[in-house]
Amino acid sequence: MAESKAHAIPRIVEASDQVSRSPLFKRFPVPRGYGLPPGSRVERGRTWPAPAEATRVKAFEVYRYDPDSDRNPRLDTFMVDLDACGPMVLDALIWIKNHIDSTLAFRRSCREGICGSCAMNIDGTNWLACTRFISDLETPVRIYPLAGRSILKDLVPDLTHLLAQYEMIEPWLHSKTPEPAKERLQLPEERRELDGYYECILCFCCTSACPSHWWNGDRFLGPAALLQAWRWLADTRDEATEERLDALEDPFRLYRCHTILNCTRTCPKGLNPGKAIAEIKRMMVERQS
Amino acid sequence: MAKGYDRSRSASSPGHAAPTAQELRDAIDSGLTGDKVAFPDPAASPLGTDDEAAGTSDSPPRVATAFRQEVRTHAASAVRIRPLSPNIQIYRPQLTSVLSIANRITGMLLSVGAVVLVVWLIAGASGPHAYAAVRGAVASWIGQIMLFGFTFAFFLHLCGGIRHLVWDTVHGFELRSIYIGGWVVVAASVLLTVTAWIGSLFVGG
Amino acid sequence: MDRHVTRSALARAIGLGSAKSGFEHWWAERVSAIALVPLTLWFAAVLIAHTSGDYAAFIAWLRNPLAAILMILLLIALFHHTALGLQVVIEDYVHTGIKLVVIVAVRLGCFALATAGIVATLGIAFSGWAGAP
Repeated sequence: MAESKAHAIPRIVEASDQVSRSPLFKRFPVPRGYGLPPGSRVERGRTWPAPAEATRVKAFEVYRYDPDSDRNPRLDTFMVDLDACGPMVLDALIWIKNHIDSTLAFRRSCREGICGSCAMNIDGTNWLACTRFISDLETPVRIYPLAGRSILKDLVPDLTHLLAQYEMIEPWLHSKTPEPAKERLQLPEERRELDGYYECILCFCCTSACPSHWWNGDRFLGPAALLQAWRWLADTRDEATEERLDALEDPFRLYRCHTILNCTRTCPKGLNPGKAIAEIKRMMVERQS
Repeated sequence: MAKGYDRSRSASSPGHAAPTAQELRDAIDSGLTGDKVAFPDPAASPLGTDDEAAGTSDSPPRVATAFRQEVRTHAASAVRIRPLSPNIQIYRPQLTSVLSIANRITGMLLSVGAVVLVVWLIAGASGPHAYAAVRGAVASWIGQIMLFGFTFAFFLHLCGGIRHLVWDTVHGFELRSIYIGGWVVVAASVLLTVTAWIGSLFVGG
Repeated sequence: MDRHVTRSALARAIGLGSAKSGFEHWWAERVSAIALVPLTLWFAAVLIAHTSGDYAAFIAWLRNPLAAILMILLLIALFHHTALGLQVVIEDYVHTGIKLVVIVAVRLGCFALATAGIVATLGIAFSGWAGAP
């Protein structure tokens, strides 16, 4: 039964939750191990047998890495009983962990797309496992950790550097004028300017999807941190706009963004980091002219 | 340091085949699993206590397995270099990233074209023989193929560049506009390339 | 670019601090791009119109002052845009010490090529102007 929905004709994507399904090519034409250090190259792993009673079975290829062993990361294949687990990719992962291999490690919490823990690369694009329907995906489903990150174990990436970049943009209100008696006033239309930016759950799907961050992630802030930087630049109550812009005006921190727009395409909350970054660049123009 | 555990014995495989939960706990406390600083924790409920109270103590082989997997002889704090997760090797190409890299590749090709432009001008300034040599190279069949590809590269970079300039005015960032704009760029580039070549056949003679 | 392994994650993210510049490069790339839209389209039109032309036709065309001026403007905008664009590409992909060498070489090369093209254009243009032999 063909569960995968291939799109033969190119189409106009209107929302980021539309699964990318080019029949032409599923990966860039580079060698499989291209650019990966030898210890990072993914090897073939084991195939776990399907449960005996299962009728509807789907193959899941999952990236595995055991930090206690000396082996390279590998790709294990699990045959998931779709009748025994929920409809989302996270349900399948939990089913695998409960019934097949309890050493499978992944982050998860809310199971409703709001905490950002289960961000991972599913069928080639970054998304939250708990809001991705299995039925929308191809066979086998390929599950990798967030792209371009240092891996602690299996699907658990090290987010330390990304969080440090977020901390660096100082995501809090800077005030120079003394505290008012009540709240700092803000008109409803001024508050509306934060819509589309404050909702970020810091899942880092966008930053891990950005090729510029893959190549220069040590210095380029990436879409997540920059979207939050814009959130504070746009906040009318903030009084450190000058310092924020000074901190961002750097050939690498801000200007490694080449408007590739993988970020906007992949945001599981439907936010628009590409636009936020363009707004920052426009502010840079404004203050120079 | 560790009480009740003789560290002179090999830590990765205790001297006997049936280590107790107490010995595993002491090994953990001593830092031999790389989980903590080497100091014993006077835990109120040490490892194994709850299992024992529930009547489901781990069997000696299971404790031995945990011991083998967790405990290391060498400096347990030495962390193996973490692997880098695959990025471009597995990330799905989408219109966003494909058109972006196409813009960059065509830009680099046009840089080569700029050099050819200067060579052509210098040949023209040098006299009819030099000019004829350059013209001959361009008029050859391989030169014409390259010129055709170059024309397409030029129009793709031009249309893509205009799309970038539109983005710089902070317009066209909704996914729908991004995708429509992207396909327009591809279609326009093909159309302009074909038009230019057909035009050159008619106009130039 | 890790100077010391014991640096905190925040210190590593901060690196050497913001350069507080970068806007000029970005702006120049856009301005040269805007100039290049009409200039390259003009040049493409010229090429299409002159595909069958011989050496004499080429010289006659470039002796026209307007053509010479537009050609020089094209060379300036083209090589400025090329130098800026290639610099960004190199910064993206080259991270070892050779990066600065390559960037300097590319910038100087573009400057030299632009100069060569301008001199060649002027040579052809002046050779036909009133008073020149």
